[in-house]
Amino acid sequence: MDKYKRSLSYYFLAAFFGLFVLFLYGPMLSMFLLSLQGTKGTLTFPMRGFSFYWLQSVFAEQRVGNFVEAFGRSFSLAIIIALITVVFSVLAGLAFRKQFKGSSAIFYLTISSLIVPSILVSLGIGILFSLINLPVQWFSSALAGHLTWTLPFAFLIMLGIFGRFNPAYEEAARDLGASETTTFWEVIFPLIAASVVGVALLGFTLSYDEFTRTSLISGATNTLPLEIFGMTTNVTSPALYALGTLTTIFSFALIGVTLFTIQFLSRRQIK
Amino acid sequence: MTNFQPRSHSSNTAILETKPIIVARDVEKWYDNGFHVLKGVSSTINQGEVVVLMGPSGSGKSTFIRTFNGLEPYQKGRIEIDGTLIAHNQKGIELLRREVGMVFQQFNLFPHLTVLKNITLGPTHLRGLSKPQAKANAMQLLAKVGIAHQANKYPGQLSGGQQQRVAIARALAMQPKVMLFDEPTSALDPEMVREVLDVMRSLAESGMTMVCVTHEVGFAREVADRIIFLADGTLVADTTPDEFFNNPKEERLQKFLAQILH
Ligand SMILES: Nc1ncnc2c1ncn2[C@@H]1O[C@H](COP(=O)(O)OP(=O)(O)OP(=O)(O)O)[C@@H](O)[C@H]1O
Ligand SMILES: [Mg+2]
Repeated sequence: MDKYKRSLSYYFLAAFFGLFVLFLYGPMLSMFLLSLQGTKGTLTFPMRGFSFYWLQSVFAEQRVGNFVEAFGRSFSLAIIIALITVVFSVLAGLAFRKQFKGSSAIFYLTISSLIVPSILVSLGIGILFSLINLPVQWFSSALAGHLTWTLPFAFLIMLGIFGRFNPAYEEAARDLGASETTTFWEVIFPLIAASVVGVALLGFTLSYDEFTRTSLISGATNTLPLEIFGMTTNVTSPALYALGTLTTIFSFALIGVTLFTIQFLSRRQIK
Repeated sequence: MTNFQPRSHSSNTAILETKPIIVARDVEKWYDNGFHVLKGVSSTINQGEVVVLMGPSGSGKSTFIRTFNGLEPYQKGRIEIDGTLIAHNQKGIELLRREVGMVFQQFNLFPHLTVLKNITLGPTHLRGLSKPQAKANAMQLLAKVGIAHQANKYPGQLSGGQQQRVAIARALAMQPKVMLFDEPTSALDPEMVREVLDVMRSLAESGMTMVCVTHEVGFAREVADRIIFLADGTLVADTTPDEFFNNPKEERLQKFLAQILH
């Protein structure tokens, strides 16, 4: 084994990966450190002391915009989006297991929303809402905007999941005399549950950090990304980084919970 | 090794009560791509009979027996199971399927459920059995197929032969009137074929009506009451094992036997 000589491409790829990691986590780490600045600290290094002052300031009333409420909106919106996305993408995935009349037309109609520039989607929804005289709101027009983003993605993923799904299990259930509904809940759903959790997380994340599609249609109140963007233009203290740190921690925690759930759901399918 | 209920009547005797349980008349089927897979197949299978279905690959054997429980729709002719018509898209097809148990080549056990749950799922959900009752029945069946000690394992933890015996127990748990087998030993390592065939043999001895697609010549010779030979979607021969192997009349069948018996 010792005599094994690594090829040049190994070093090239390793260096590439190293750079990738550096650029991904380097900024995050600096943001982390800077959010722990002392009370007299500024937006840049060096660190002037160490404190939790800025982290606490995020929760202080109106100090740096209204972070807590914006988070609440984004979180609720992301949960609703995740639920809607899961339900409809699973249904669509089930439908597309069979070739039906017009299936390819529906496929392209669904997917095309990924190709249209996001800002145009936002603009279009805004125009549509004013046309029918509805006020734009984070829970109506922004909800629609996010769905144009999450549904096509989730739909594509579900097609992949069902493409790999072995119909033999359903046949066995059907042979035992199970109805379509029983077959779905007792056999199909438990087998795709782990993937469904993944799709839910995807829907949640796409919505939670969506900016462009929300930008013109969130109404009088901001979602979290819009709020943060607003702050970058007028907040000049490390509170900005503190905010970033907190949302990042939240995202990691969420990923952790999801991975744990997926592990739990697929732990039994030893194959 | 295994013992099911003793046969109430022997199929070898002439006084066999010949109540037809599967009646297939001029069954024709086309696949969606237009392929004419069954070209008018007729056959009647009586209660307690063990029928082996043989034929070259692609002759339509799987397709034919899958029409018996409505897993494959057919376009012409009719199939009756115990007097009830099996038709495509028919309401209540689930009720009929409960009467027909099927064992697949790839076992098709539910990978997310234990052996025991695989067996009790049907009876508790579809036959309305209480959980303890279903469990007791399942344990009995598992004992009969010789794997009671594996009840709490997951299918992925069992050998192929064991999985196939669980699959047989799962089908039996629904107390079907007929059992269909589609090449139940083809996916198994040679040393596991015996244990599955033994279970099928004692099931046959217990009087179960069975239709088996299999290439196991020994099983066909010893256990089958009749052998049906399909070729290119047509029924070419329907005869006793003795006639089938020792005195084949049809040229197509002779060619087939020359190939498998070498
Ligand atoms: N879904 C399908 N669409 C089109 N043709 C099919 C389909 N399923 C099977 N066929 C074709 O129908 C014919 C009969 O298939 P079937 O599986 O019934 O044969 P078989 O006798 O069971 O063969 P084997 O011994 O290989 O299992 C084959 O030629 C096969 O290619
Ligand atoms: Mg076959």
